[in-house]
Amino acid sequence: MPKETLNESVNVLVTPRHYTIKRKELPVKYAYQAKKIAPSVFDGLLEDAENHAYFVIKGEEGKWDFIAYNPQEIKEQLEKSGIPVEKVNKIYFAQEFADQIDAPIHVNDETALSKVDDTVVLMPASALNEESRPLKLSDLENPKGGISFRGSSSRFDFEQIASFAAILVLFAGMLFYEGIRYSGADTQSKAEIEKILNNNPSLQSKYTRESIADKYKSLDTQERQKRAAVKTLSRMIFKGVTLDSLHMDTKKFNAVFHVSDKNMIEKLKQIAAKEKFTVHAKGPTTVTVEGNL
Amino acid sequence: MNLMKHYRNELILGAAILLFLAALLFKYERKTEVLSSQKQTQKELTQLRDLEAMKNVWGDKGISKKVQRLQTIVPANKVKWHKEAKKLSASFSNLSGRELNSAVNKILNLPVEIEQLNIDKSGGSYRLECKCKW
Repeated sequence: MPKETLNESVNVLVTPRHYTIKRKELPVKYAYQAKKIAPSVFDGLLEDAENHAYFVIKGEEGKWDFIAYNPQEIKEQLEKSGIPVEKVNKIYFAQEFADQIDAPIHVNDETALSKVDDTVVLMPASALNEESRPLKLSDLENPKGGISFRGSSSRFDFEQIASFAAILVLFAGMLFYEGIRYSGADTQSKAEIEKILNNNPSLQSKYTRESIADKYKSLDTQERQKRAAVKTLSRMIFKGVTLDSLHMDTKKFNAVFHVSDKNMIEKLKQIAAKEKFTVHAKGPTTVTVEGNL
Repeated sequence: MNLMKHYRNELILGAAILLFLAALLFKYERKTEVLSSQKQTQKELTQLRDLEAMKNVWGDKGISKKVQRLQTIVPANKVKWHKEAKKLSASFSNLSGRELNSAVNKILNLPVEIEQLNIDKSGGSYRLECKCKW
């Protein structure tokens, strides 16, 4: 093919040199169904089947023309001919023009496209009948089919990219939906806060709240300490131990116990140690327990 | 234009990936935002519950009545009672061990600020003095 220089997008006709065709009768209705089984039609026929893509043309009476082509090979041929892939609008296979080719079409000085048994073939121009009126390529009308490299040089085809993009968009939609659903999840707690504030209007203000909290928290802590201390002291009263006196104010306490024997002192010391109280034995039967609040 | 056409697949893929990443970011931002808000709300709720509980205990308007009941837990001749506004100075004398126990328990269960609590044993009986306010 001679080298061309292009400024505008073009359509390209691919001759049978760059594709393999096989006609087969199949009980399928749609092209996408035929395209799915196309690889099995060429099973064992192609050397590098994994590099091939497939195109189907629906014929009459359930007949399908299966075309196997190597996109990379076509792209390389285009590049060799000086046609950048991005300048190619659509690529048509010669077989798609079978209905229009009723006379040979000269591809160049040496070869021509002709039709044999409804199959478009490439043949030497010298073999043509010189009396026949040759068609020109420009006489042909573009059929509906064709393929497109979509001007992309990507190693993935458009369908793969589109499917992957569709999956990503679907996931994106799900993520957006999940994100939107997160709102309003804490309405129950907010309703409870609202209820507490309605019951206690003085708690509405943050400053008032802090002031009340400060006031009650210290009081609560201190009073709980006093009560816990008295409860611990009451646990120290058991058989053989009696309370002689207890003096407690806001800062400290002092309790005096009378014990019947020395062994009891150790027991009192154990209980007091757990609460970090100070224990002093005053004589063999008197024990003082002290602590700060 | 031709360049866009040339890289159309890449552009579609790039746009889809960007959209996906944006959605992912949106979801996690939203999740973080909502979790943070929930945490804040929970914290506020816990504070309010605690505050309400403390207010109900220590700021109860019926404390005076509850304190008054303390006067009747032992026979009147054993009690010296001085109550002024929100302050109480009570003295219980000649208490048995059981009576002392009962009086101390009552005092401890009252939501009052205990300023002084004195217990002294003399012979077989006890003397209890209590000063508190509310």
